[in-house]
Amino acid sequence: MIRVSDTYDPLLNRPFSICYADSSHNTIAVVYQVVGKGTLMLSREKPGDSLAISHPLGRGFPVRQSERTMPILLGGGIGIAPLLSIFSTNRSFAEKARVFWGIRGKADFFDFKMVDESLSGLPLSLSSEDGTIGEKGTVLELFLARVHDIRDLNVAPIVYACGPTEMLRPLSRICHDQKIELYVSLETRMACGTGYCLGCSVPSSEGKYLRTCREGPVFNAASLSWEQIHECH
Amino acid sequence: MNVIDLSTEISGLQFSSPLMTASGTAGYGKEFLQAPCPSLGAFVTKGISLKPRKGNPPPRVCETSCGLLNAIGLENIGLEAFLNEILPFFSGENPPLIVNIFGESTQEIVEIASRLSKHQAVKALELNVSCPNVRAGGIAFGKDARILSALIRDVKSKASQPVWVKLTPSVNDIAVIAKAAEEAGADAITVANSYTGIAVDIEREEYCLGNITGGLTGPAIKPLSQYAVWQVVKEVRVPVIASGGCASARDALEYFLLGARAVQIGTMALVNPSIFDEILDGLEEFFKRRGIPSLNNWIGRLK
Repeated sequence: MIRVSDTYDPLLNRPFSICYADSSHNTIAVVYQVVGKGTLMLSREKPGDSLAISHPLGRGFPVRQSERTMPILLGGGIGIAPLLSIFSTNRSFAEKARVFWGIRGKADFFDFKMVDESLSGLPLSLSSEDGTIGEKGTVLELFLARVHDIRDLNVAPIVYACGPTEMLRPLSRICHDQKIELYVSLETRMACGTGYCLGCSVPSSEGKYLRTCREGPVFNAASLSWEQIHECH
Repeated sequence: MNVIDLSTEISGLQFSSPLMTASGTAGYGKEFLQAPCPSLGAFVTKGISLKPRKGNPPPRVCETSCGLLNAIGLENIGLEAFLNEILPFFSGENPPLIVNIFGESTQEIVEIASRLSKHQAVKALELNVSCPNVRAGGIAFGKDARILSALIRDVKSKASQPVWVKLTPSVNDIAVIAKAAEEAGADAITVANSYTGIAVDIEREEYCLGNITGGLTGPAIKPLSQYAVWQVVKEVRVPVIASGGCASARDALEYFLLGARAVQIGTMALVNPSIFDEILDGLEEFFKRRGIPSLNNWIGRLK
């Protein structure tokens, strides 16, 4: 959670995912898009300014040590940011990853090496809805076109995804049907980030509520009730 | 002058600090008090009902100008789990435990009160008759002086601890309700709860909250809550606990000056977890600067 202002408007801290953490330099990278008042204020901070941050909170992407596991990162828009975190939590595991990234158009693109030099040259499959960069289409179309090739490699794919609900919901169906393990990082309206207010709850497949800030933001897709999960506005 | 006395007495209980958590903003205490919080005078739990409650559909929170609109829907683990999993945690080391309780019927609330009355770790009950976010339970009791009086009498007859009553500000005359609560035996009155509100999304042409209406809290409501406190302190002799948008030592000092004996902090503790320490330090600094030896010398000075 990042405090974006010292005043009462905006009142709440903002939740962000950590995109990259470098323990040797004691730094973290957060990649965000300006969408509202909070991110606009954040974008006006200058190099050297200080911010109040509480971190890390919640659960990140689980890592599998098995030789046969192939991580697949599937990001929609700015949703690519939390996925890249596996490169700092387990580099050797992440090295095996295939990266699929879908954006609306060229304007949304950024080079991963802006986050960290070590992220340059990843095996990236890129798509854009308007066709101005990468293949024309959605990231789901891109993924579906490649999933059989990946299957043929005799590996156990594990998908890590983040993006709009309209992307995650069909993806959860695809992965369920193809028996592929899927973990998603969810975005919800959030107040405290520490589990007390119960404001960020999402419906679980067992008919209960799970807190995005504590039990998530990364969930096994099978633990969620997708028809009741709505877009975060 | 070296030590400022910041203690306060409410319903026969002595609190080392006049700051408390506001119900529903700090859970049940087991997680919140993992790190010791000596600046907290009392811990007020999230509202407990007889049976667990699932709560409202999301979205449950929405930020508004200087405020937070919420419709959590009193999600809680229920009395049984509270007694088994939470209560054993509260021992001498922790701040006094105040359990906030609510229910859909008098019978249900009385049963909770009578079962909690057996537990010495529970120092007082805070009766929630003011949650705006659930149809049945809570606020229905808090809007009618006669119904509220009957409920308080029933709860008092079973409770061994002091009973605090947390009122809703969404009434025609909160002073009338407060007076009725006092006459029925309330040992203290918490003023107040959130204000019912709505937020609208013009792009989606939709309500921002899953529950449509929510309760507004945070700095936006402070003048409204201060008005409610001002009305109530003139009317009752039992202690008044203020709750509503307290964000700084200055805000707390304002509430004390109006006559509140303690201040609950909720929304701003969600934003700033160290707020209790900061406010307590601020109170001490202010009283030192002004040469005021104790909080009691300050409370209610504004007539």
